[in-house]
Amino acid sequence: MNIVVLLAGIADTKWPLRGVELAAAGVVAGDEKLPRKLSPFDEAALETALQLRDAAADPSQLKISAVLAGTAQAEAIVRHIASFRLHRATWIDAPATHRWDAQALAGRLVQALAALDTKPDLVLAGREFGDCDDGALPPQLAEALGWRFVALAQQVLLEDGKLKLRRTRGSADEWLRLPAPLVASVTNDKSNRLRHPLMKNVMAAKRESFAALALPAPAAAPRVSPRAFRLQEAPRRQGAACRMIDGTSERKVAELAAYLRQWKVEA
Amino acid sequence: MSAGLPSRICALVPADDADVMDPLGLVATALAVRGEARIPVQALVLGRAPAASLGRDALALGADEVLVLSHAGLAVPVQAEQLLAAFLEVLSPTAQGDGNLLALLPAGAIGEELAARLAARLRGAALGRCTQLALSPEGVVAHRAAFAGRAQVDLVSEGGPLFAAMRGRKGAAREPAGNGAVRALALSCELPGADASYVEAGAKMARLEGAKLVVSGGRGIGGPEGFELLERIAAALGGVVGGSLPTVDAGWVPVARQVGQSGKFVTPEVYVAIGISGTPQHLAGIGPDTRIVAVNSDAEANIFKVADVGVVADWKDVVPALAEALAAGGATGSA
Repeated sequence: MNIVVLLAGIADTKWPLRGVELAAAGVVAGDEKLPRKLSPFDEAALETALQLRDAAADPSQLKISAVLAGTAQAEAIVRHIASFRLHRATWIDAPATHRWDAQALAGRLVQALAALDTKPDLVLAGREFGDCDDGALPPQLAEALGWRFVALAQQVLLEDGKLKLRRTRGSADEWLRLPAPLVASVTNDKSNRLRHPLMKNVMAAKRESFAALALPAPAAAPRVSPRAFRLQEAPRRQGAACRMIDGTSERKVAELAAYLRQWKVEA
Repeated sequence: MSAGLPSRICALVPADDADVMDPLGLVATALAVRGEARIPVQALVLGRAPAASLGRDALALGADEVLVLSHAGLAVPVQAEQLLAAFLEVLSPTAQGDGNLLALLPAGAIGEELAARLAARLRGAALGRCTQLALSPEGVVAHRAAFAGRAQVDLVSEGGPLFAAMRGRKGAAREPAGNGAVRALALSCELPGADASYVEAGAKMARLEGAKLVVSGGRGIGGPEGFELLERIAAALGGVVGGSLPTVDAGWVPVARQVGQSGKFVTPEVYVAIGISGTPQHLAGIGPDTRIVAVNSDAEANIFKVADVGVVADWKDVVPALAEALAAGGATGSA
């Protein structure tokens, strides 16, 4: 089985979005200068692939390739990804004009999948693809490929040649059994927290050289583009300034308990 | 270049989607998007056997045309793949490449997936999870969050049909109801199979959606043990427990409990935030009218800028005693 993990990376949320702005028509820029890292959803997708490899009877028959979309700090991120001993780790040029249009970006990712040396059976991506997607990219990619799609998977198993995917529906776990090929978006879960790579593999990745995947020009121009961009520190809320409860711990507890009892929900 | 005003706004309502508390809230949203513009609002209510009252209620809200769609083969819990096929049976003849259509789907996993996939199938554009849509002479402007809720962006499209996911809003029945009609249609399209099985995940959890009181923990709680205390507080107050993204990442709470930009949007009367710093991505999951009660050891934490009541304290100094006091039902001693 060949698995491709598509990764987007995000601007590190510990850093303010200073300098990020609408730089030209249809282009928000500036975030490429901020420290970048994998998002929790990127990490969940990568760990899901690693667990499939762990469970394979013959791990050499399960190849994981990872493709990072975007060139900003790409080599450093790809080097980190490669420390998990993947079949291939690479990146593609994803034009800044495409990242607001899930359909256009999906088209670019289809080009990337076609350029890999392995034909994927399973494509995994985080439930949100980078800073500008809110979940439209993975289903758009499935549509572009003409494959089945499963959203918000938390775990993926391979059983009797079929993929078995777990996700939460209300208070129940839903298990879906579907044949490959398949695109799944992965959400964060305690079962898919990204492991730490072994130090020897980190050192090996440091010695490797990496290159971008060569792609033809983007197949489609974006149809959705930003017209305005504003930073937001905190949403506006109704109500007055915060009433602070001061004093000893006992006093704080007593006042807090008294306040909350007013709002007790009667069955 | 822009597309101009849409000629119709269509609310696509998956009636059996359990994540949507008020299916017809989307119709009220569509009417709000239309505003004073003279654009017809249609409602397509789809389910295995949707109640006829849904159609009448959609009309009473002000929809100009309501189509109640049923398909006996639809699975419950819903499968997006099947809903996609059913909506396509109705939309394909008229919406394919229809640059004048603006279609809304309910925010949430199912609605957002459908919005993206319908856009792809009908040669349209997906606008994502929008907080607002504005109609201007130049076209539809979609307002949505980006960069994990730390930025807002206005998006425009060069052409439709446009598909957006939006939260429902409260609507009021109009007197008299509009002159529109309710039509019922039984669909017969082939539905993709859903080889699904379900396993109850431990104790049945009360739903975050619609909860009147939420007790939520953040990274500051430090581990799953603290959440046991939050459960006790929630139980004493008749509320439910939520968590921030880092706590879900850490495995302290399940993903179904996640509140925030990437999780659930909650609108309780009171939201108790323990050890939550108040990042924009977390606050994006809390309704604007909700009172926030915050406990955080950092007096400068952003959460106090938006809270109604605040306590600066290490949660360990407050939460265990608070759980005890609330469980006992009486007042604790005060200094």
